[in-house]
Amino acid sequence: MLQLIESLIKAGGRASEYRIAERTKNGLEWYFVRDRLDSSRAVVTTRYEVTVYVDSINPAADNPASARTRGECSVLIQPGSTEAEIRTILDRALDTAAGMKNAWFPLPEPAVSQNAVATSRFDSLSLPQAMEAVRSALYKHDGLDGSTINSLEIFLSQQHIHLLTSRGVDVSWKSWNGFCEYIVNAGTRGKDEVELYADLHFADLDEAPLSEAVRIRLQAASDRLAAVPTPELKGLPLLLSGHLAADLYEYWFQNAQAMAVYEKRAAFAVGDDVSAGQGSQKQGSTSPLGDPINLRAIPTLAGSPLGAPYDQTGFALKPVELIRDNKVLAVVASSKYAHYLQLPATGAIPLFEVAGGHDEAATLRAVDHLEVLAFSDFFVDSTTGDFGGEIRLAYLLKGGKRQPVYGGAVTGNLVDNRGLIRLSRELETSAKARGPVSCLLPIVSITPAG
Amino acid sequence: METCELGAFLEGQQTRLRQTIADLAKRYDYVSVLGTDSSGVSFRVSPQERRVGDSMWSERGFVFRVQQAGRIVEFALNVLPKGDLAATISAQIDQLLSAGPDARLYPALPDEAAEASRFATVAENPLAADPAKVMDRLALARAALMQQSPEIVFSSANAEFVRVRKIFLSPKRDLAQAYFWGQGYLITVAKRGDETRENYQPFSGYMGLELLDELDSKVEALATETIELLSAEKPLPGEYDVICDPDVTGLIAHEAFGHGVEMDMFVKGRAQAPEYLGKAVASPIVDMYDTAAGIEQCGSYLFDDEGTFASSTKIIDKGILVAGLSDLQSAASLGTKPTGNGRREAFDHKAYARMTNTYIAPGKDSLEDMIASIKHGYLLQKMSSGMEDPKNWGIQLVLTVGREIVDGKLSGRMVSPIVCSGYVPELLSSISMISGTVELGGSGACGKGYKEYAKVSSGGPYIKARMRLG
Repeated sequence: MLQLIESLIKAGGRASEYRIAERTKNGLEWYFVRDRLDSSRAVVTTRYEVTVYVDSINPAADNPASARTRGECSVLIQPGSTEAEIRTILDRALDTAAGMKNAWFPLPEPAVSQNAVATSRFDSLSLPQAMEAVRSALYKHDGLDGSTINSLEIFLSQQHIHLLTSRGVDVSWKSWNGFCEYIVNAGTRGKDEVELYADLHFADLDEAPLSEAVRIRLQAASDRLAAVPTPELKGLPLLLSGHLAADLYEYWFQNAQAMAVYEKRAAFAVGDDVSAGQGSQKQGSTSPLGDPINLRAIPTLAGSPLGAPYDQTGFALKPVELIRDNKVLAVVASSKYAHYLQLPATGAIPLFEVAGGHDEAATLRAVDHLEVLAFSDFFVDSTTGDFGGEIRLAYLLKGGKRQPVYGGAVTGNLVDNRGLIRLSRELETSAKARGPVSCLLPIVSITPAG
Repeated sequence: METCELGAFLEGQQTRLRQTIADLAKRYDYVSVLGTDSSGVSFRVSPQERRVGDSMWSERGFVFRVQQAGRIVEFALNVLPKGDLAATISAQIDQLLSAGPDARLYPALPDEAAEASRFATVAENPLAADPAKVMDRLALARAALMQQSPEIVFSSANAEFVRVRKIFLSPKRDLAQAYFWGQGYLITVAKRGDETRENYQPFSGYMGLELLDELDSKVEALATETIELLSAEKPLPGEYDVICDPDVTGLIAHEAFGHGVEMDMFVKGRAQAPEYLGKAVASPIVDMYDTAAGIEQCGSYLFDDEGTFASSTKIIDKGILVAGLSDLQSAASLGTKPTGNGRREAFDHKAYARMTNTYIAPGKDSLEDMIASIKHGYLLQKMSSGMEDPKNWGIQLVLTVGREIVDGKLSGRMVSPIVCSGYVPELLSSISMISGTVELGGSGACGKGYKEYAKVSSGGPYIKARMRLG
């Protein structure tokens, strides 16, 4: 099918360039209510993503450099499509691309990525065996302190990606994509039962972190039972850990993207100091200053299913330093936006790494603070820097006493906190990033529970 | 006008699939297949760039569902192998039935005889239109946005159209449908010094390219509002009298309450709602519905992804919780009649109990009277996000625009962003005034938790309530 699509594009003679991605997936899904299998599913799919490019010359252009244009159109070709169907889809895509006269840009030349997807212990197991191993790990601590898994969904698939481009890129790789979503309950007769949500992405069979993630959530559900409504709190810093901290770090990664720079949405540009300005001026010199931001884009991360050795255009990815000691050195730039901005191309690198700070997490935790463990839905707006959410479970540390609280909300802005955020020395790996396990934000607004 | 057709692909598979279902029915207690062939196109015009591509909602494939001795399994695939299809499907199904830990057993899934089809019409077929002309229309709106103020540093115009085509076959059911939905956004970013604000204006409908007719009328208000946001302050945390516009009313109906009456949550014991059936959960002036039938918006259809006909469900009647929304499995488990709310993100995703078009019914108050009744509060607009909490009935709504009301008048001051929190029954019980006209919006997608996206719409009239803002 891949060869058929390519031969039809070539035979048509209208495409200046093209790229084709074949993605196959073979997966199993188990859905549990409590500890019993509610239903199960098998999924076997193949899809072909095709992008065609049509170049032209704009005779009305002011200078020859801007006269060359490139239009592109991406289409999905379903497996099993007839040759006539494929021709029709391609013809329409080519017509569409010919009508899109964007500034010209190059496609990447073939290169070998040094960042292969890591091998996985799932490789040696059948899908049902692998599912059973994951299930067993996730249920290891079920019932801890009376907290139980209410429901759980496990998705595990092996994926194969094959990229072909008109520039000669012809690469393929396999990866495992594991995901589970689980709800935990805690509650006793006479008291309201509570629940907490969590999810995990994984690409390797590493039972210990799977079991530990569920154990932490079960413990948190027990704590939620003992929680009191969030009281009036003023001037208290916010401590975030784990995936919530990673969501926050993503603000810098999202703004260090060439597309955001090109569209003038980015909060900073190459050469800027991400700590300078409003926040540090507001705070003055009376509080400890924050740790410097050091950010790298990375193609793959052990255990993460979200990495890739090549981007969608076939660019061979490698790590790139984006921010060093608060100074923006580079941005993640696909070939297109790198050309538009006259910046070095990095390819669309999917993951990132933030360096640790000066102090250990225990030091950050020693000051009075509010640590939110679970929001209803934590949001971080990469354009405005606003962040926050409704509190489902937090721990209030005040005067050496730790009290679980719930309800109310936290809001803040990363621009207000520029130069003031403290990062833990210890690092943690999540699906999309490796970064400080905890961070402390001094300027937030806390709404008490009603 | 143009009628959406089922298309050659699904039509070409029907005979073989009917035979396969008949063969499989000899082996299993229940068998059905959903076939999809949905295609869509998305357009984006941003500074110096135009992009056209397939919609993320495009799909073509099949999901076979089997029940055997109470156990339910599914096999999804998008290439039907040649040869004995029933044998291929059986082999995979038998593996599923024999694998895995101890399974829950369900009462028999229903299979009542029905044969029906519905093929909607559109004024302009977006899949047949000249993409360059569609882009020109979007580009004009985008350019007009940029001309409104030098503080607007970015704008884009986006539109997406999808032609949904589905068939459902079981031993006794033979259903087919095809229809279009469309959605779009105008997006703006404004900057003033360190302050950056992003804003959007959505549009959507159960329609084709004619949706773009309303584009130009939205430009000026969006630009003005975005510039106003540059001066917005953070709200002082506290409890306020608020008026929710139809967009925010819909967010409350959908996120704060609707997810809590999805009856697969009842089966899991994840919702408080079962304990409140027949009891007051809202002010007596509140009626709330979910309906995929009789309304034309993004959540409308003839039958759901399990072959159950769409219905109209009155969820709240004069403040009393009267009904929930079910898929086939939850209805079978709970012994209730399926409401036609079994929906999948695509053929290769599981069906869950999902909302369709969810709204609070109109009242009799005027917006002017509602504003005049508030000493100090806010008119809340522009939803940013929302998340359900059916077990604990906590509220999280994040909104972009809060217009201050002082002494019964809009003061001209704005707050942003606004995180609304609280307890759902308290919020619904505080509703004291409801305006007379319902508006529905269906842009974006609804997730079940953080995945399983489905097209829905939500809305209602303006409502006056009491809410905790931060």
